[in-house]
Amino acid sequence: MTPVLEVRDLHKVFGDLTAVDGISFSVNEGEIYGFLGPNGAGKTTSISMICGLLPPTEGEVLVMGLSIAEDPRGVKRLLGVVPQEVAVYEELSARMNLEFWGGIYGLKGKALRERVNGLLAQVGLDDRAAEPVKNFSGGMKRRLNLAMGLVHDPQLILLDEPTVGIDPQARHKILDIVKQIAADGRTVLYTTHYLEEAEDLCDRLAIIDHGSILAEGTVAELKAKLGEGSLLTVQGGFKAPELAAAAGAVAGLQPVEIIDGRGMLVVGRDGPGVSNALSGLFQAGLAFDDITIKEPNLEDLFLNLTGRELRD
Amino acid sequence: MRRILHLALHDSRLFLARRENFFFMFIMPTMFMLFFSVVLRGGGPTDVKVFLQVVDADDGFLSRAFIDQLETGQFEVTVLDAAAADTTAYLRRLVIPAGFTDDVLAHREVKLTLTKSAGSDLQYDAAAEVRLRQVQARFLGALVRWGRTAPDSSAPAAVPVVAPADRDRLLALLAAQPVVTVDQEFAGTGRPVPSGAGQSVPGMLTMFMVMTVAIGGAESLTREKLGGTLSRLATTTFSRGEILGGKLLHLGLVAMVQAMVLMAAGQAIGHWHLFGIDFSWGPHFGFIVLGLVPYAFAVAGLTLLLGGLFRTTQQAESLGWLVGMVLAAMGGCWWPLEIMPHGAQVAAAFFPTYWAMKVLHGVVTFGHGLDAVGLPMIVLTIFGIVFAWLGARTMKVSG
Ligand SMILES: Nc1ncnc2c1ncn2[C@@H]1O[C@H](COP(=O)(O)OP(=O)(O)OP(=O)(O)O)[C@@H](O)[C@H]1O
Ligand SMILES: [Mg+2]
Repeated sequence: MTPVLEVRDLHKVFGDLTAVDGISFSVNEGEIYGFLGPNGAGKTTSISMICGLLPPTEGEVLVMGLSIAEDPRGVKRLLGVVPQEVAVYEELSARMNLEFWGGIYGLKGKALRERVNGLLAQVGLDDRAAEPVKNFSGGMKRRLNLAMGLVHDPQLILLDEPTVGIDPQARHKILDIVKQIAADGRTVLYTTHYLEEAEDLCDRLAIIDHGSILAEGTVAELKAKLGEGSLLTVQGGFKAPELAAAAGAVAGLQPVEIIDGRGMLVVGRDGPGVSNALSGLFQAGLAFDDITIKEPNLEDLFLNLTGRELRD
Repeated sequence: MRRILHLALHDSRLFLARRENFFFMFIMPTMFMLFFSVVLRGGGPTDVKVFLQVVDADDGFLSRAFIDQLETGQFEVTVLDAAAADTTAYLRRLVIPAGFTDDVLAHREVKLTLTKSAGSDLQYDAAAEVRLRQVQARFLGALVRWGRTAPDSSAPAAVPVVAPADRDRLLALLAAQPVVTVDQEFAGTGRPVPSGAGQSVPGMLTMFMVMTVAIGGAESLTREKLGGTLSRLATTTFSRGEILGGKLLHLGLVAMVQAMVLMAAGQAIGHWHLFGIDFSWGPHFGFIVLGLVPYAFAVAGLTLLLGGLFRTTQQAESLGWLVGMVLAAMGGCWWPLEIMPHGAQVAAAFFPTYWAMKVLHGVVTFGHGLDAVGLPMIVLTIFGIVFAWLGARTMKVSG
């Protein structure tokens, strides 16, 4: 089966800056594929190249086997794009916005009206549909922004951080809609810097930073990369080198990040076990104020891969 | 083409959904047109007396007779004696030198001087000169028919004496109808230098076509560019060419709607003689509309370029105004170009407004048909092509 989206060795260079540095992946029909990365990772730049807004410096994008470079109109017909920044006509009502966007794709008459009504209900804007969008709250605008990318029922939907800056309730609504789209057999590329979203939503995901994919797979596969050990976080009045030395003395204890007063260490499965690791650290005579032990999540994986937190 | 029209109509709906555009399109231009027509209503110096201050340093019977002639020759005369001359301001001043009467009677050459102040109106100055020559000719004619022979020049500087009967004969000759008169008229339905509503109505129409579109259009283009709807459009099946074509068509449509609004307003003002204003578009209404199409195209292209250049909507609003004002002033929308310095008249040819005014004056003021405005229409089309090309290169559609 041809993948719905196939990206091969995509590069984008802006002057001195390589924003996207050789990305390859493919997404199959009905899948939600996540792009997880911090600010400036190259998510939006990648999406822009996939939807034909930016020409790639190098590489290729195929949508259902069609190349965007060779057949832009054929590809764009299959795409629904939801940009990161809300892009709607503020003076028009939600309904007029959707009708215009449907008209752009050739929908008209009864088919257009029914589609618009269905979408308005789906994103929960049916009772405010006639109001100018400039009166809407941020979350309402985001929901309209999403609906506008769906109005022509595209095969492949590119969602660029559709939940940024909205309250948890509106966010759940959007996540539910995305799940529904995928359940209907549509394919979704979803970028985010929220781990919980990626974990909850995506069938597979890529962790991306500085324009490269650092790791790719299902959530379970990615977690397995950390090893099924435990994560030990200690805080106290010690200096970074003191903790590093103490950790180094315990076999199987991997430092992830160590700074003055705080350290994060992985106790590998084949290692000494949590209690042995801890007593090893105590023996080094370090004073700890706080110790937490937990199973690793994607946040920790990200930290492990990049050496920094996902959120600034 | 259908797709381009779809975009253009959508944009036009958006344009009208903004209340300020509505105001700029319907209310403000009409008010301006009315205001300027009232201010410039005068109808020119042909029907009006021209102010003339006369310094009568002679105060003899001939200088007084000459002044009487000025008054009947459509001058509004104020007479001063020589002593008051230095302390009195004037627009135009004629000085009759001391000894005027005696010199004339003695057949000696006399010089009258006409001085114009910097603040005088050129049209009225021109009229003053023509009328002064007419008065001079009549006065000299009367003197010739009066037929007094020159006094004997060898006689010792005797003051010529004129008998009262002789004086009356001269005054009667002056009052009589002159034998030969020259009437002056202007060709065409208007005047060579359009004035009054004939200037302000086409002027305001030309100005507001560019103002409304440049300000409102550049502002909404900038907004779309920054707000992401333009690049969102580029993710659809619409090509860049179709998107820009849609924008151009929309801007051109707005310009034409603005033209229609002001054509209707001008017609209404003239029809009801509001504030006594005299105006008509003349018999070639259809030609005017057709003649304005290339101007609308030029305005649309210019606005696309502005929209591509501006970085913020504030820039679009303030610089849009500035561009509109400069174009209006340089194109002769506010005052007839003929009264501007030569350099400005030459520079005017580089502004589309100048050519639009040429179209309007050609058809409206001089009643020519479309054949006479072919050149301005071609020039405007070239402006449109150049602006649109530059605009398409400057406008960033995607991201
Ligand atoms: N048009 C451009 N010109 C120059 N640099 C750019 C341009 N667009 C993006 N960049 C740079 O490319 C890098 C990647 O940007 P991009 O917008 O793709 O990141 P992102 O992952 O979407 O980040 P965010 O989470 O903040 O949206 C950044 O360093 C950005 O400054
Ligand atoms: Mg982004």
